Amino acid sequence: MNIIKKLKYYTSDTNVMIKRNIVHTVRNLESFLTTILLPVFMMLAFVYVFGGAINVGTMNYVDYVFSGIIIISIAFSASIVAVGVNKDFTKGVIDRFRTMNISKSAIFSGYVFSSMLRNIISIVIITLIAFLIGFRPNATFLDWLMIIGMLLLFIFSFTWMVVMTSILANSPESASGLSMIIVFIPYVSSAFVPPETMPKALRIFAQNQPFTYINDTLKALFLGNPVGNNAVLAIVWCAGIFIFSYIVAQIIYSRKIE
Amino acid sequence: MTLVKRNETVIEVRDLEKSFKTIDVLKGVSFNVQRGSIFALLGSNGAGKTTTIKILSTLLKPQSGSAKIEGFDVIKHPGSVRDTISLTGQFSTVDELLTARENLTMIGNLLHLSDVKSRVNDLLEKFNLMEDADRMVATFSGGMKRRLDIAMSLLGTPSVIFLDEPTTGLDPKSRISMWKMIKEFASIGVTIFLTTQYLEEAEYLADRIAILHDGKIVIEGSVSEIKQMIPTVFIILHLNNESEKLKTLNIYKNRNAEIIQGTNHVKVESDGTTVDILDILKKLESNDIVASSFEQKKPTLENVFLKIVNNEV
Repeated sequence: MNIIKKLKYYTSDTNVMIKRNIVHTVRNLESFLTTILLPVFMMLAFVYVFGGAINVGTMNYVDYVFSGIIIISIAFSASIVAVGVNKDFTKGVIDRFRTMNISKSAIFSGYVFSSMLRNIISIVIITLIAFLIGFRPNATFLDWLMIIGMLLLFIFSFTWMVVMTSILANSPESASGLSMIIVFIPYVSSAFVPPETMPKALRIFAQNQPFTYINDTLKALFLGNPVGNNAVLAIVWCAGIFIFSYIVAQIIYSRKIE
Repeated sequence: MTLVKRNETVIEVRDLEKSFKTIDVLKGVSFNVQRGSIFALLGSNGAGKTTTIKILSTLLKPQSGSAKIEGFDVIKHPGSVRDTISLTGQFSTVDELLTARENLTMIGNLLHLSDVKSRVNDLLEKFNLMEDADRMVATFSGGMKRRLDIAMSLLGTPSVIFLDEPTTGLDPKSRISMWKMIKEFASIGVTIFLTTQYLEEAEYLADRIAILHDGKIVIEGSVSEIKQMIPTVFIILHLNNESEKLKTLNIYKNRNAEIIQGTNHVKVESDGTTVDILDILKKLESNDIVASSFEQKKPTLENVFLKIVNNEV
């Protein structure tokens, strides 16, 4: 088969897979809504309930917490990917696709791109609500472009990690459980409270983990502050997570036929 | 009309071996399947039926041995094999959140068919799913899901269809319509390879049967050939009470007498000749037992199967 035909098949297969995943989201709307509503409620709770007690300096708390809420919403939406991917693998859907000569990249791309689409929708909704409750970013046009770029890169690599762990899990329940662990990691970062307020061990972890770099980058861009080397570290982490997850996912996928 | 060349080997399996960690599932499995025939692989749970079907449909690699489909080696040319086969797994792989039509259209698009719409309509019609075509599959009955599953397998017009336990979990009515469909495919030259635990099903459907036990094919042949391998018939004696039953059991020990559970019937083996049957009846008389009636039953595949399994164990 020549390369052009292969590429044509890949694009058309990827399209079919993305469509399939989007229809799943639409027909299973409550789980999608949950991944939007939960971060919104968290944002409201942080701003109106805990926010008063958390000292973030002179800054408006919603401005402080907004980037963290976005990160949490991305983490929450991982559960949709986790359950979807794992069901396909454990219920024989992938077996059917595999006996049909469909490229595995098309299958994986379907998961990743539909996840990106879901995340973009929920981030837009959360951002609008944040504006309603007093979120006032200082970002320039260029900052906004960088924010979008950073978010897309983060969602992309993060989804790959979830895809990888979900193939590994034995059941949709354990896949969903694994994604819950991932949801927990952002709490121990700069997302909600300054890491300096944490006990030493946690603080060292919080200051050096990828969510903190990503969050600090986003926060600086929103507030119009200099990003420092956080952006570079965030990009390196995302690239690393993607490469690692991609390779491991391929290995597990081909292991399944040994 | 499809031109059907019978007596042409479509599936050729030689010395397949497969083990998972320390468990040897297949220990040298060989058989051939002819074009347009229905081949049933029988075996109890865990005998290796699904493993065999997965190797043949390129989902698993064997440790050793070879398998060719339409002349293509499943290990060296999985792509070419996939173009000629379809697999309907043991658990239906229909997408529950899509409608029947969407399921079929998705597969049609993935196969890059040029006339997806009309093919989908044909299959919906053929599989009696037209009325429910636009309902979400989650609301379908087990039989409807299975029909859709098989319809999805046929979109690519495969020449070999693998069906892993196609009627497991279906109600009797759906099972009969499934049987009808399978026979129809075979009649137009499609080769069917199916696995089943239902001996009755293999007996009804298959041209040839292979019994997989302990990782090996213990018997292979046509239904009648296999039945001939144990030339006995069963004489079922209808007795009147418990003590007669036990007594009878004792008298016919050498004929492998067995009580048919929940009844007053005792089953004994015979070679089916009048002399032999008379011998059975005379023995009954000389022991002062009066049976209310008796019947003769031909052995079913189940008997063959149980006999083989018991002998091996």
